[in-house]
Amino acid sequence: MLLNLNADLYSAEKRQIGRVAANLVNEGEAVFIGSGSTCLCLARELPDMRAIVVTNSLHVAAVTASKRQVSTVLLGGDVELADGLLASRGMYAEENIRNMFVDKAFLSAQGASIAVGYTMNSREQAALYKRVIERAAEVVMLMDYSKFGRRTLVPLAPLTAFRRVVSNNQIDEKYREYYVENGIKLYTSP
Amino acid sequence: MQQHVFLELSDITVRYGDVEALSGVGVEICRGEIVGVIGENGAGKTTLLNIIAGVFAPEGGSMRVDGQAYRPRTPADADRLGIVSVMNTPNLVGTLSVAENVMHDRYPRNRLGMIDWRRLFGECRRLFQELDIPIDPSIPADRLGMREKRLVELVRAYHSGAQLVLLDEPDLSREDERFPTTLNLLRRVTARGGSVLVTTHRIQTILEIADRVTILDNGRVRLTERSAALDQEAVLKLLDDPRKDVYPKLRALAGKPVLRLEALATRGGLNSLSLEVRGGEILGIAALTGDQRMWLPNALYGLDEVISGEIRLHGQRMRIPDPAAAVRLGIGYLSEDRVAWGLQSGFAVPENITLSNLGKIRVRGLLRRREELRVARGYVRRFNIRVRSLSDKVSTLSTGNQQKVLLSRWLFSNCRILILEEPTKNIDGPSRNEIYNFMNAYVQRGGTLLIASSDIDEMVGMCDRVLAFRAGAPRVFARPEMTKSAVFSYIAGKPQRD
Repeated sequence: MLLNLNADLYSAEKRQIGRVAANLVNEGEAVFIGSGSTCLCLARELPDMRAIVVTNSLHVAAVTASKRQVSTVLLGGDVELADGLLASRGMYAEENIRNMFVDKAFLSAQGASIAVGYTMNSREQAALYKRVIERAAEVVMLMDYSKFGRRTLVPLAPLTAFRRVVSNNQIDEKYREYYVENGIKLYTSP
Repeated sequence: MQQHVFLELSDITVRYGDVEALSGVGVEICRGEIVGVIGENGAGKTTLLNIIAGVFAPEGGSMRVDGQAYRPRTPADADRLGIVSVMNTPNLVGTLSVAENVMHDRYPRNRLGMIDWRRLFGECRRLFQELDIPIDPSIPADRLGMREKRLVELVRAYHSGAQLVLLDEPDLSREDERFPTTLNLLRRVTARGGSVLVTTHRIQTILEIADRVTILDNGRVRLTERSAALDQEAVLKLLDDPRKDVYPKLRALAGKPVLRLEALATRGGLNSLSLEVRGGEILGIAALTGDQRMWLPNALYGLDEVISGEIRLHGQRMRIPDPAAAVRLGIGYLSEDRVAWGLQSGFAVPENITLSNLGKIRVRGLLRRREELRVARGYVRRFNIRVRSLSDKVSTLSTGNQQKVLLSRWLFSNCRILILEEPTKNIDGPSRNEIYNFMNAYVQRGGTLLIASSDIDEMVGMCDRVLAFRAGAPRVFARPEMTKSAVFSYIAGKPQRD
C-alpha cells in the first residue's frame, strides 16, 4: 500500500529534525510543508494546534488531516511517486500555490553544497518549490546531515537564500561554519 | 591629497562593569574634516565622545593627537589641546550673560587688568551678527531655550579656536531654522583646519554634512566610508541587518515550576528576591558586574549563605550548604573558569564526562573502563566533540570542545537545573552555535537553564526571561519586551564612573 502511514522508515536524525521544526510552527500560522521524508517527519511531530498546513504531499496531508485543529490544504496536480512518497507537482500544483500565502515554508532538498547551493532530484519538484518560495514569508530548510556535500541535478537556491536551517549535530563542521558566518540560524539536534 | 590626521583612535575598548560598550574601535579624524558617527541607542556613540573628551579613560587601546600620544585624564586635558565637546545637555552658566558664556575665559581686559565689559558685549554682538545668530548676548543664558543654548555652546567652541569639536546628537535637521547657522559654524571650524566629530540619529542629515561616516554597531565599527558613497537606505540596512540575530531559539515548553525563590536574601548580596522558574525555561542573569550575576547561582550551588527567605525545589524547601549537596539535588554549575572549576585537563575525555556521577557507573575494574568509554563515545558523537582519540587529554582540545565535554558531564549527571556562567566566552562561532543547540536540547527535555553572561545579545537571543540587576535591584524581563536596549539601559542606568 502506497499510503502506509504507520511505517517508521525514517532515521532518528530525520525524526529529530521533524521535532525541532515542529517547534518553529506557531499557533495560528499557515505553513507549507514539502513532500520529502523529513517533511513527513515534521508533519508527524506537529502538535494538534490551530494551524493551516498547505502541502503537495499526499502523505503529509493524510497525517495532518487527522489532527483535529489543523486545517489541511492539498495542492492538486500530477501525482507522482518519489522515494516511496506520493506528491503532486506540475502546472496545476504551481497554479494552486499562486493563490495562497504562507507564513513559513518547510522544504527539504536532496543535496547541499557551498558551491551549488541546495539541489533537487526532480525538475518538476524544484519548479514547484520555487513558486512556494515566492509565496512564503520565510523558508526553513530541513536538511539531515547526510545531504551536505552532495550535489544533485536541479539547483533550487544558494545556501544563503534562507535564514533558518534545521539539521543534525553531525553536520560537517565546514557547513556549520558557513551558516554561522553568513548569519543563518542553524538548529541542530543530536 | 595627503590629509593630515588630527586625532587617531586605535583599538579602543571601554567596559561598564564587564559589559563592553566599545570593543576595538578605531577612528581617524583629519584636519578640515567632518566625521559623522551613526548608531542606534546604546551603540556606543556617546561613550566614544566621552573617551575623546577625557570624561573617562578607556580600558584598552590608544589615542594620538597630531601624532603624539594622547591620554586625557580630565576634560581640561582635552580642552588644552583644543578638543571641545558640545554634549547633549548644555553646559552654560545660567546666571551669566550669553556673552560671558561665549567669551568664557577669554574676556577682553582693559589696561588695569579688569574686564572690559563694553568690548566683551561688543565683540560678542559682532560675532553673532557675523554668524547670523539672532540672540541678544546680554541676556542671562538661563533665558535661552535648549536649542539656543546648544547653539551658543557651539559658538563658544568656535570662538575658542577649537581644533576638534565633539558634537553629540544635535537635533540636526534641515527643517530646523537654526540648521544653516549650525552648519555654517561647523564649516567655519573646518575651513580654518579644525575638525568636527558629530553623532546623531538623523542619518540623512549626517550623510549630507559629514565628509565621512563611521557606523557603530554594538560597540564595534561596522563601516567607515565616505558619505558620498552611502545613502540612508544602505545605512539602515546595515544597522537593521537581520543577520545579527543568529540565535537558534526554540519556543520554550510550558513546564512545571521547578525552582521557587521566596524573598531570598544571601550574604553575597541578594536582597529579597522572589522568582519562579519552570522546567523547559532558560533564565538569563544580567548585570554590569560578575559578582551580581553570580549571586543567585552561588546561592543555588551552595557557595553562599542564605540569610533569609527560602529556596524551594519542586515545591520542597531546601538547604544547600555546599556544592556536593547541590549536585545531589540535581543542580549543576559550569563555571567561566573551566579549569579551576571542573575540567581535569590532565585526564582524558571519558574520565571528565563521568566524574560528576561516578555512582552511575557501578562496575569496577576493566568493565568500568569499558563502560566509561561507551558513555564517552555516546557524548562525543552526540555533541560532535572533536577528538582524535578518546584517550586525548582534554587540555589538548579547543575551548569549544572543552566546553562540550563539561556540558556532557552535567548531562550525564542527570542534573535538572544547570547553571552556565559565560557559556560562550572566547568560543568560536561554530562552537557557539553548537552550545546554543545544546541549550535547546537540554530545555526541550524539561531541564531548567540559568545563564549568567556578560553577553546581553546572547541572553536576549536564547533566554525566555532575563533577571537583571541594577545596583543590586532585580527586575525580570520577558519576551517580547526583553530587548537588548531595555535590558542594557536597566542594568547600566545612567552610565556612571567613579
